Amino acid sequence: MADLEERLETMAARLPAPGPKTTRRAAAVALATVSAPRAGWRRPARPRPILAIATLAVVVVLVATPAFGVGGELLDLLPGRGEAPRHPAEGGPPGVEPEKSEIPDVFVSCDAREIRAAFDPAQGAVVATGETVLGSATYASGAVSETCRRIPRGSFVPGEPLRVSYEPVDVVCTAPRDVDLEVHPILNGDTGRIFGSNLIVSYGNPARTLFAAVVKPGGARAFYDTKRCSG
Amino acid sequence: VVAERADDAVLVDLARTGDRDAAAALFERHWTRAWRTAFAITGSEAAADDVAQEAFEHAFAGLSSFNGRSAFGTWLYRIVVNAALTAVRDERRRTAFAPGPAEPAGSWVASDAELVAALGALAADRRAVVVLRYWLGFVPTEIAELLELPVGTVHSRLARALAELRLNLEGTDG
Repeated sequence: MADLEERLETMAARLPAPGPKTTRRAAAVALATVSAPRAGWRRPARPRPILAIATLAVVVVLVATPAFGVGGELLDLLPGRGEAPRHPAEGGPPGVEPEKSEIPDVFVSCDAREIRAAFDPAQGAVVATGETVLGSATYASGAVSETCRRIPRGSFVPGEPLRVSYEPVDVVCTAPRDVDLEVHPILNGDTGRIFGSNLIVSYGNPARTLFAAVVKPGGARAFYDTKRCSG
Repeated sequence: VVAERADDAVLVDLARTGDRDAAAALFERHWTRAWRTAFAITGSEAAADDVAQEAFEHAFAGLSSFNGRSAFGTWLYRIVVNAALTAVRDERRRTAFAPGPAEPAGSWVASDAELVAALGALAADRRAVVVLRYWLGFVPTEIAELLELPVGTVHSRLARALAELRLNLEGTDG
């Protein structure tokens, strides 16, 4: 047992490394969170407790109201809440217990420059142009429209600053050229089970991220380009 | 090229102004080690993907709050270590999942399995000091900074963890 420390050190050389896809996706999202400081920026004042409680009460009442909901109409199109588009390569009916093949791992190009994207951490994300849903991502499903065509996966470059939101968002984004969509499952590497999905909207090659949603338990969030998207 | 040669402090200053090439250089420089740190503590490649990515998101989004009292790397890896420990604890609470690198991964060889299992049996806090020291190559003073512990505590925790590992391995042998 005297060589325990040596055995441990030897194992270090055999540690796994992150995969190239993981690295590329992490870079795409992480780099987009870098933003220049705003002129005259000051740390926000600590909110007063009474004001915070009043605000919370208003939010609770609003959320409890059925008519309330950011992007409610668009999110109604998520699988399980209506018909979602299915890519021919995907297969399998919607609303079924997810298996490894239930969420496609696809990169497609769509004929659209202006998109509307809605995200709700409780449900997932939907991207549409006009009346056409281009793609969706939930905890158990993911899909891209068959009107989009598969293209080779490109590399990402840092784009404009992305704003991150762990709350529901509904934005309209305009890209300078047709958008590309990427949908892929988030797998538990140990069990191989799907526990969420990613939906990334980008443009150009190398790609710049316009909108991205990470739909997974405990950390569902959306990112959007603050210069090209408005709520 | 300039960005590749510059040290972290210069890159951080540039990234703070919104220079994403500088941020990209920081990402490239630290990503693999950050991911391996997350993997070593969680024992799961999926968890490492999440933890490392979110750590970089938090770090880059919070560069304005980085005070420069410690090195950028120390600050980043502290975020990774804390997130990884939280992930392990959350996973335990939720599913009673036995944390630790229980499955062969990467290019581990068969003879590693016994030690991997013994590491997986350690409490997360103890496993963290072992893997930070022997797998990631951090020295005790750096581990103390990462875990925000006195250096003496790191030494004693490391000694206890190694003793427990030896006991576990002897139990396996015998």
